[in-house]
Amino acid sequence: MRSWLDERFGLSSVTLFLKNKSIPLHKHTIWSYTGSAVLLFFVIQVLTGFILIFYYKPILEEATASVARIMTEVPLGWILRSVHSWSATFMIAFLFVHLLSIWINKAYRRPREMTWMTGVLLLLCSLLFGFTGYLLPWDDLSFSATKVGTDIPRAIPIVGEWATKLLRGGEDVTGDTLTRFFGMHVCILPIFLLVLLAVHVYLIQKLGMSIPLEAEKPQKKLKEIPFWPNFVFREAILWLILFGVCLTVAIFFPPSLEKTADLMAPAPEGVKPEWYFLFLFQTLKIFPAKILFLSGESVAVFLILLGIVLFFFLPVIDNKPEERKGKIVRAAAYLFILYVVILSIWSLL
Amino acid sequence: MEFAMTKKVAVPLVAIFLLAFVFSFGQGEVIADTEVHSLQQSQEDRTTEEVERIVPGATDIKQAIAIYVFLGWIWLSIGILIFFLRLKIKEVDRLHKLKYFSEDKD
Repeated sequence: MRSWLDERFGLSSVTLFLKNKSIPLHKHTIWSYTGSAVLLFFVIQVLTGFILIFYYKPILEEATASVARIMTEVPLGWILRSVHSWSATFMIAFLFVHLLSIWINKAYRRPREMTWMTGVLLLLCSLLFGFTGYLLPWDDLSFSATKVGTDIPRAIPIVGEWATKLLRGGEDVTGDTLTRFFGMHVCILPIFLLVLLAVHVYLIQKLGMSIPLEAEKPQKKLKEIPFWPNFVFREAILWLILFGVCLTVAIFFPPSLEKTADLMAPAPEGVKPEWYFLFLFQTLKIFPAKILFLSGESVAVFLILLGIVLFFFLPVIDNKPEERKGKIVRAAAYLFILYVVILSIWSLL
Repeated sequence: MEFAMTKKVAVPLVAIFLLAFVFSFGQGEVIADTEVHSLQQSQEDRTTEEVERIVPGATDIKQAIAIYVFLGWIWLSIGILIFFLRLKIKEVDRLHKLKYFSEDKD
């Protein structure tokens, strides 16, 4: 069987490549495991998503009822939905940890700039996944949060109005928005994500794992282990534990379903987005209505967009990582973490 | 050699464990139940119906126990798999140290 497959697909060259690929061992090796954890949660989401899509109906009149059916009539349906939702949360959490660890360790430095950039695009793609998926139950909470979320682009001068209309499929959040979000969630975003993921994984395989700056000195020779099977077996232990934790959390803390969204009703009090958008949400809130002659919201949105652009081009900005500039960029990473934590907690209070 | 011995014990152990797992899983009724009464109505009624708040989870003690047993089996199987993976890691690390697969092993 093995030789049959090898003859047709040339699998032995892949095995040989994986055997020859090595992972450097150092005090920051632990961060190398976060990437595969993201991949694990992505796979869990794809698999649970496949089953959920059999039962979900993306039309205004049926959306909430179909989610209710998943939770009450489909065998293990509420666990399935809960695992889907929790694995998204874990995936984004690990994505943040993964990118921040790369930022702090400067693993994006030459020649890995493109690996970082595809990683940032994957993060944005995952956040969009979360945003579009949040509306799908079409309950009170998701409807109001989407209304607030899709209103934000309006603050961008010139293209803002158009962007909001494009997202909503009209002036307001309606059944058209639901269909549009569903299409993005199950078709457009997965295509983008798979292409980006393929490029990202290819670049990692081609360029290998980065080593810390201090270990780059020629006199230091790092210990290494083969990727296959030594590193993969270690990763498998983490995958098993994370799967168990995700399932346990999903069983004990399943997400509830609020009552069907009412298009005419006023937004309920205390509407908040998902936890990973809280710091952005609070950033928008702390800006005053007017800054000089400009709208405060426009300034806030502009600063957020600027932050995303700077984050994307970080390897280009931090082109001398061992010098003073590099130290400032590392300090900026710690400040960013502090900012996100403080604003997220503030938003919850 | 040491690993080969473990493997001899491990294979029947895993087989027994999996059989027990499958058997016990079939016994449980791990099916979530309901707080929504309206969903028992016809398909046509559902299309225009407002759904009230649903808090998912087991509704009676029998279902709750079935879910906990299921979770227990999952964690037990994770524990056993991790035990064997650790053995495997020790073995492959030993072979790597000996440069067993390396071309310049002598």
